[in-house]
Amino acid sequence: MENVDELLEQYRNEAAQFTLTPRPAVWEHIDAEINPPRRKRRFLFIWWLLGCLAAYGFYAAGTRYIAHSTVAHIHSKPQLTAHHTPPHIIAIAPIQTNETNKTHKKQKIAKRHTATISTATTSKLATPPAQTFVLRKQAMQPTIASGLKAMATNSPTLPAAAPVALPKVWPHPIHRLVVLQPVVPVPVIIPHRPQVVTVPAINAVPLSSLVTHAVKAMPARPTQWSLPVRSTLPEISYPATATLSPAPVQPLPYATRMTLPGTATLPLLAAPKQTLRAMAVLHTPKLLPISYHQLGTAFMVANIPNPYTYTSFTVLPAHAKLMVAHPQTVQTLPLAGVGKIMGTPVHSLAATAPARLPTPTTYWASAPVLPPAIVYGNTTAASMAPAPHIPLPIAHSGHQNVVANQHHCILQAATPSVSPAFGPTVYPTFETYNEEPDENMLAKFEYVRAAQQSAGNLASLQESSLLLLAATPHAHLPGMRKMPATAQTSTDTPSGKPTTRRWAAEFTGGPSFNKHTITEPGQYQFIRSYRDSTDTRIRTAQWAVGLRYALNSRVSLLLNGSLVQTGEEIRSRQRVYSADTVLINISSVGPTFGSQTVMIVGKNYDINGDSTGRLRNTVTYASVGVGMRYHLFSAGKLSMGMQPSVSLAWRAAGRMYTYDSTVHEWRAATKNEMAPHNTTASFGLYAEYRLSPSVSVSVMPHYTRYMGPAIRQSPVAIQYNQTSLLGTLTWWFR
Amino acid sequence: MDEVVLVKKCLEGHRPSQKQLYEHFAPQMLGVCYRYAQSYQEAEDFLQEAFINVFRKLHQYRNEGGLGKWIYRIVVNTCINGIRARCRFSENETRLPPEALENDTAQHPAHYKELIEIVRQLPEVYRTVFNLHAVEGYPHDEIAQLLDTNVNTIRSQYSRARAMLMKKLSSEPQKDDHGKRG
Repeated sequence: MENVDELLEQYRNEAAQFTLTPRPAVWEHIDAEINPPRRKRRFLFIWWLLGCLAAYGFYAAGTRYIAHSTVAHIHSKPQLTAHHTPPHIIAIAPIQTNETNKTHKKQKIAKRHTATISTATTSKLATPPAQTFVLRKQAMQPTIASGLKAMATNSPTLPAAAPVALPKVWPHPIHRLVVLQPVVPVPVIIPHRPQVVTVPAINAVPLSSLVTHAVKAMPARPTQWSLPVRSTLPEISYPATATLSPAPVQPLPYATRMTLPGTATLPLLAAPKQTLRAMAVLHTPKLLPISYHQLGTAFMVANIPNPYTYTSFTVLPAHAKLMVAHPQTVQTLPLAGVGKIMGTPVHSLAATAPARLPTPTTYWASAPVLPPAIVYGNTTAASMAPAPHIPLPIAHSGHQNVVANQHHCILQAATPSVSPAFGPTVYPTFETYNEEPDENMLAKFEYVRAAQQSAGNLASLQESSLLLLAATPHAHLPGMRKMPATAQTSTDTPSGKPTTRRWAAEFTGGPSFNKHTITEPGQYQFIRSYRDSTDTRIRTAQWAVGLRYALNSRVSLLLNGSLVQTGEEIRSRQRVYSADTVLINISSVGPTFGSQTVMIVGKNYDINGDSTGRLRNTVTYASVGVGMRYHLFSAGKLSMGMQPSVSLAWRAAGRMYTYDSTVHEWRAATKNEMAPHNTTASFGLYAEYRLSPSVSVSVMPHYTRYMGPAIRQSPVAIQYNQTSLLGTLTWWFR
Repeated sequence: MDEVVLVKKCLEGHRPSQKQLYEHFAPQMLGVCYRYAQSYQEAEDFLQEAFINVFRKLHQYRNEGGLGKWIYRIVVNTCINGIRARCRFSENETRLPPEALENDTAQHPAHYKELIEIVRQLPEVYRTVFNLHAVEGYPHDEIAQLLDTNVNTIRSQYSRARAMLMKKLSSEPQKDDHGKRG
């Protein structure tokens, strides 16, 4: 029998050594919990992919718009005032024509042919090969045939048609090649080569497709002190705070992108003598003010190792600000340390002594206050936010007297966890106090260290580490082991939405400006050069109610129902032409794209009537759509991003007209002729502002493309597209 | 593997590293759970819940004070939460027969395993308070805060747990082969 205390001591000591082996099923359960299946991501990826495809489709389709308006208050009898152009006769040997569409055989047709024949080619071939050309329009056959007969003997022959593949200019295929020179009637030798130009679709390569890498923000861990105010800092891309993403998020329009180290070897940095086009020196650690402990905001500092040769540095017309908490200590530092160093390794830049270049291995710099400007708010929101200034209390070595007032100081860590490179370093943010007593000790240690350094011991700071101090009220009592649960601020998400509210109801409305796109399945073509200038585009409206669900801080899903009206307006005078489309394949003619031959497509139209009047076609769709909203960046309560969506639309009402080519009259389209439903694809860029934790408003330029024609039977197929300016009121209710 | 590297790999989602971390600490932590649980199965449940919390909060770990200590703290908190969810600590449960308070001395058990079994025979309320105070070193006021009751109740519960333990130890047959002192 001994004292129980001794027994308890034994119990306590042996408790530390006591082990039991859990069953394997325990780990299996843990593993299943912490590593869930990745099917959700696939779902997100599909949404993202749909958005990208929609955006690309809009772009590709947008290069082919043809302005158009249809005819109106119909002249009961169209005036056939055929506008004849001098006929051109093409001398070509065997021609095969289509045998379809006998309707317009008897029409008087004058043609203006587009053809191209090169001297070299035409003189070489003596035997006319079969099926050289194909005339698509039956109406052309008599004239062409007679012309061919007349010149069957003397005309040079064109080479045999070779399969011609349209050259592709990455990333867009060539939609159409146009021959600019007029066609010279054969038989003559064309003394010059035709000039071939490409349609704008080739030139219009989007910037985003040229950027092979993009920067994506790192998801920031919510902290208890993140603050929404970021207005004092420019919106600059800080690639060092991000990780690489294979998809372009936003292109940098003017400068070479600097990207992160660590996650991948970047082509930019791997090659010698790359160009660093724009950099600005922010400051060196020496520029930190002595009143270090009074800093209430973050520094944006980057440590940039520079083992490469930069061929050019440009002076930036901007200033980098040293951000401090008190207005009296705010200072603006002019940029320094820039210049052109051709072929010379640049080792160091200094704020005050650019002549020191090159010097040791690192320098401090930040991105310039210039484009490229991308904000990845999540990564820097915490460190860039000016916190409410509370002076740090006097350092004290005692345990209980570290904090003199009830507001506790939050210290952030000093040393970056990863090697800093381009862009500012993300300093790991400590939750200074938590349940760990040891971390309390750590916080005090950090605190004392900060206080010592604030007393003037800045020299002890290593250049690779900076103390980042911010003070914010925090209900913490020294000595408590358990931290009271801190409510997450509503600004932890880039969009400024409270993370606890995921569901929202939305009401959207706004004006739409309608355009339409014409394709030509029939035999008639509206030539826009003859359009009257009084054509206008009508303005309609659309309304929608919807539900929104925030999957995470970046992505929201949308489901909405809407009423959308579209249409086309007013045509005072328009002529209708019979179309003859000539498709000519010529090998070895004209300039070539590498080994490719040139394909020449001509399209000519002849007048067979016109009419004047005024008309409005309108159709109203009721649609149900799904979409997603992706936040690209945010600045406090303001967030911006993109919103692709698709929807199914049913015709609810409408009155439309169609052109009857047989009698040259416009008449009201029957219900059967109007398409009963349609599909749309939309894309918008929104700016959303949070009025309160539960209410936000947004404005969004929005483009909607109707994928199908509105009228089934018509000489032309009319597809509508709308550009809208939508306003949305969002109520976050759950 | 270094703890820092191990934690970093775990944060990156490296499953072998996660398993390595688990296998390294699980036996010891299961022993901790066993002290608080009513059964071995419940101890494994506590362990499972605790390690899920560990991996979810691993980004909060600051490499200060040792990873084992950090995990230990999470395990103890998880056990307490589990017990608290299962039962209520109230004044009524603290009643003990008066004879439990009579003897404050006991024989040494032969081995820790026997000792822990004796401790585990205590009512759950007493066992939890006893472990928190005698083993983990929590002060009474903090235990009261953790268990959502008042300090006097905790003091009373600890005294009675101790008395009950002494009584049980006195009734245990003495073993000579292990652990007996002076």
